[in-house]
Amino acid sequence: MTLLREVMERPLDPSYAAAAASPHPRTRRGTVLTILLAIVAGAAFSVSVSSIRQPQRASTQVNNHLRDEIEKRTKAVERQETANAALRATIELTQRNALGAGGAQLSEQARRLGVAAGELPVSGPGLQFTLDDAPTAQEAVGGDPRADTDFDDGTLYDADLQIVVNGLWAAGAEAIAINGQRLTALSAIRSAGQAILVDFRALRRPYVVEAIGDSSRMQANFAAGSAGAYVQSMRDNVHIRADIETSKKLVLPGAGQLVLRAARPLTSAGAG
Amino acid sequence: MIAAIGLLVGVVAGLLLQPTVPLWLQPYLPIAVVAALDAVFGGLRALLDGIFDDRVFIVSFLSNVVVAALIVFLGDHLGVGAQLSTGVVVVLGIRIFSNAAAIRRHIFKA
Repeated sequence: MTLLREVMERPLDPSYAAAAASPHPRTRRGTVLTILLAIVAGAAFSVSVSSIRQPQRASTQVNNHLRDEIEKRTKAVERQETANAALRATIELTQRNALGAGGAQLSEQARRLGVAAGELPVSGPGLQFTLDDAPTAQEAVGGDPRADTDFDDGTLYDADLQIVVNGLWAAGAEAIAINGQRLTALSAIRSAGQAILVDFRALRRPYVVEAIGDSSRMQANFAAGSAGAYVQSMRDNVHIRADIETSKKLVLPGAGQLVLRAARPLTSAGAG
Repeated sequence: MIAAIGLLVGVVAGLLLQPTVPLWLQPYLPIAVVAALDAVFGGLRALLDGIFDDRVFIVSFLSNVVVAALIVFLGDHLGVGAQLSTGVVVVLGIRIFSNAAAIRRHIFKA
């Protein structure tokens, strides 16, 4: 390879040798021109270098700023949820006091409805599913962003969680929470970018799905259903981690007050 | 020697003034910087060889930068910008390394 040899063995510009062999007289104009061009070249060099570096610095700054903002807001939401829980307890107490002895039945009914709707925390026996990306997909994170990513690369998607949750409901689960986010009639499991969101809260790996119900019956029904087959095939084919544990006592948090803005109950006349 | 001094003055001026580079020039900057580095190392080696020449240095510096930018421009328009850039970086990288090796031999005699 002449080209490679040329590059390897004689990297110095041959014109240096030529200029040294036949020196040309230096004129005043030539000197001035050389200095001017040198200044231009130097300025172009440093400006290019600094402008290549700058956008990255700016983007990381923005990223850090956004991350701080997210963390701050998440903390604020958590604080408000704790405050909410305290207020809910107060409301319950006041309600019971206001209703008096005769209202015990009513408040008991409200409690039952709240548990069924997912507003109030519940506990009971159940199953605990731990789902996680395949080890290969975890390594790929932070690797070459331009590398091919097909859908079978061992990453869990929102659709996978949806199938698992649907399977659990079908298997007889009475209450489900994912990473401590209680699912209600208004919950949605969706994705934004790489993250899976439940009720607009981003989840972190691993995903822990807790379901309260008759654990042995639920486990058998889940395995027999299509969701069980789906999880099994994910485990076998793309090596996604999926562990099932039965638990005697799971505690699921409440989702807090469900706010309906548009929906109204039917009046008895409307229902008739 | 005056070329090197002029270059230093230009570098300092660029760092102090920090003018913004127009957006259409941005894609050509990385490869132009590598080409400029190649010219700088070549000049340094020529200096140690005792055959440094201001005129050759400036001409090689500017033509390196222009040719590198031209190759990227051409590659972008032909749809092979990434591959051409890689080729240019490989060739210039080899040159920079062997020039650096020659400089090292001059300085450390090893």
